[in-house]
Amino acid sequence: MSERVYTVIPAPRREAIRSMIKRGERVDGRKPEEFREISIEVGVAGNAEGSARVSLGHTKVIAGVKASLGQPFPDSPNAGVQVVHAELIPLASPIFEPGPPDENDIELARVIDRGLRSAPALKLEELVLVPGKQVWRIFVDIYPIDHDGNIIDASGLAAMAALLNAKIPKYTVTAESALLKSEEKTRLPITDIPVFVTLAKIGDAIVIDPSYEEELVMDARITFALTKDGHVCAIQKGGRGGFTLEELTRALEMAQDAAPKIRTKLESVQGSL
Amino acid sequence: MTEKVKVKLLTDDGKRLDGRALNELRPFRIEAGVLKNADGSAYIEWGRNKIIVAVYGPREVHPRHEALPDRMLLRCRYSMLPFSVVEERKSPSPTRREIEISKVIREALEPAIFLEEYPRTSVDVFIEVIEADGSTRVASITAAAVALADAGIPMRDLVAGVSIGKIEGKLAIDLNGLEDQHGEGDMPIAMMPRLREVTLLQADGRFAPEEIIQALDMAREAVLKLYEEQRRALKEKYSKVSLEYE
Amino acid sequence: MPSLHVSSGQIVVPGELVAEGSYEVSGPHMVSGKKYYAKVLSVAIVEKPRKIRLIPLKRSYIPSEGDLVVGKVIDVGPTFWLVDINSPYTAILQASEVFPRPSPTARDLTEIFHVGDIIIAKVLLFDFLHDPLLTVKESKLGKMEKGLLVEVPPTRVSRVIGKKGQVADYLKETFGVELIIGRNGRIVVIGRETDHEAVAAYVIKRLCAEPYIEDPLEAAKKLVSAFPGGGG
Repeated sequence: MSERVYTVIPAPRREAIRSMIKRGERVDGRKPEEFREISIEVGVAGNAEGSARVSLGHTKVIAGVKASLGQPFPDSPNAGVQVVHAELIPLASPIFEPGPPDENDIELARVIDRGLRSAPALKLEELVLVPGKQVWRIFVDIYPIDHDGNIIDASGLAAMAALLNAKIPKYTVTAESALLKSEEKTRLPITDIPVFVTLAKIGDAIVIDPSYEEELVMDARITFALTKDGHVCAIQKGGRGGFTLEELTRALEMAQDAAPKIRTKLESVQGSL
Repeated sequence: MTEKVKVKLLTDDGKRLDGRALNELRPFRIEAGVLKNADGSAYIEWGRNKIIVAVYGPREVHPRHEALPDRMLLRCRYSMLPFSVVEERKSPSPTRREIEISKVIREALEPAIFLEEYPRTSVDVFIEVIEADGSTRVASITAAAVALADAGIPMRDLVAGVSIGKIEGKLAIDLNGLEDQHGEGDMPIAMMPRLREVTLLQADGRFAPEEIIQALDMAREAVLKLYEEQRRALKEKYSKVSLEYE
Repeated sequence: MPSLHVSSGQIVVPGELVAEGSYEVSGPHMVSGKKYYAKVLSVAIVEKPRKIRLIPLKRSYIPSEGDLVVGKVIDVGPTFWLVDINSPYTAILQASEVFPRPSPTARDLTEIFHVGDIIIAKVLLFDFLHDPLLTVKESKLGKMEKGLLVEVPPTRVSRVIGKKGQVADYLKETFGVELIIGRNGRIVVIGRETDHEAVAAYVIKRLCAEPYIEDPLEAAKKLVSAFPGGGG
């Protein structure tokens, strides 16, 4: 019950947000197609193989990559393993409760996983050392630490930046399938850089990168993950309302316009590594 | 504490592997008020430890039936992020170690707080370890006290802590991960600096009674240094106070 | 030998020694013998050589009987509403405090106030043992129908009022607005134009940004004069 204090938006505020959006204005001064300021810092968790901290406005997410050798999945002996996990921890918001992952934690992890897998971000076939026996298992753990809306996009950025930042030891495989670890480290085999873009429907308007307040007011949201060449590699609709076909087309166009600029931020991280 | 491989933790000239003297602390730095949502927050870097703490409270107790009629309910959750450890990824579910540490951290902070001031409310302390390198519980307590103060929680004193360990028969302050793993003992200690009251004291390994007294003395000195940093962090966060409005 | 351990404007942490000897200390503090310690993260203001005021940087609103508060309805029960009053204590508005006498017919409370509504109310009773009770029976109490809602730290509400209401009067005159000032840090600004409301709200927020202002009226005047057009 205490969380209702944070999820019930005052009626006058709701009215103000909705009526301003009809005029194309957002309460924080942004245009409908404008993202909040993004900052990405990598290498924030030194025991991780790769890590990143992303700020999207006041929303902050930390992601870490841990890599270890292990068995592949039985049905894909020639591929490495990618596991994405996310947790909406109570540290980040008074509306998150402690406990095992609930449907929101799981949805977040699965959406990010799908986007990364379908792009594909990681070339899982290049993470095999001994087919069927020894492969790299890459774990991506996503932890929002401050929730001010649009955790999905911030999480996607953090996960991708952590993967770009990650370094794993180089192994050589002997004729007897023994593994020799070298001193050298190498980056993960990354082939694409998917970017997640979430849009919210408020009345008849579509706005990009909803803030926490806008999420309280929105009718529905839609997330697109986009590859470097503009393909869609994941979609997730959320919220209680629905989208018309026209609204979806508009949202997709807005996402396609926004994605390259967001990707530039990731690429500059990649460049500075 | 393992007995498997004997790792030499002291060099021939008596220095520790990271170059420190036995009574030398690792460098530490605290930042207060780093999160928007939390009522109070702090981030600490101590050696390679990186820990973030959020405090929510006083706020309504959830679930309601857990509310105490005459005081605030203090709850602490210490958790290590899966990528915070050197070895294999840590499973996200709470381990027995994390549960015990959550309890002793709560009991280390509780004596400092004026719980009676806000009956039937709760103050929740959330600790997430981003990078771990030995003595994380005392680093967490040190940061948590800053987060509590940042949240405006009424307290008798801050709380700060340090670990004292044993390396090759000698007492050493502020064990890092390697020293904790391969040393002969670990004694985490936390105190209220002004009141000189010990609120956390644990030990594993073997210590002679005089060593315990000595360890407490070493801890007290270190706690005073940590206290200065706690104060500095809080003052710096709010140093933009102006008496006149420009 | 009395000694002052802080300078005016200094931030003090809980447990920090502020002064020793015969001093007049106001604000949350602890006393041990003749020693005064801060209890909460505060800024210390030395008002006179022997008078210290400790101003908490963050402090929750604790309801007090008679307080005017601006609440947000968060739940509707069978005979009451649950109202968030920006306090660790969620308040209750009983149906009997809305209707002048018990109504024989079953009424749907949601028609009166529903979730999300902002209401102006008064605190009837709070004893820490039970949820605070509100009433809207007096005149000028009830649902906020128009205006802009502004949130400020509850401890700084008194500076928006000012000595003998001077600051509030000045703001009302300058911007041509009505102010409903809730003790719980929520203020309703009602003007003829939404622009006036917005500027007044902005000035109020800026006025409440710092932990301490020696002369709120002067500060308010400075803020207004910094505006192009100077308000009104």
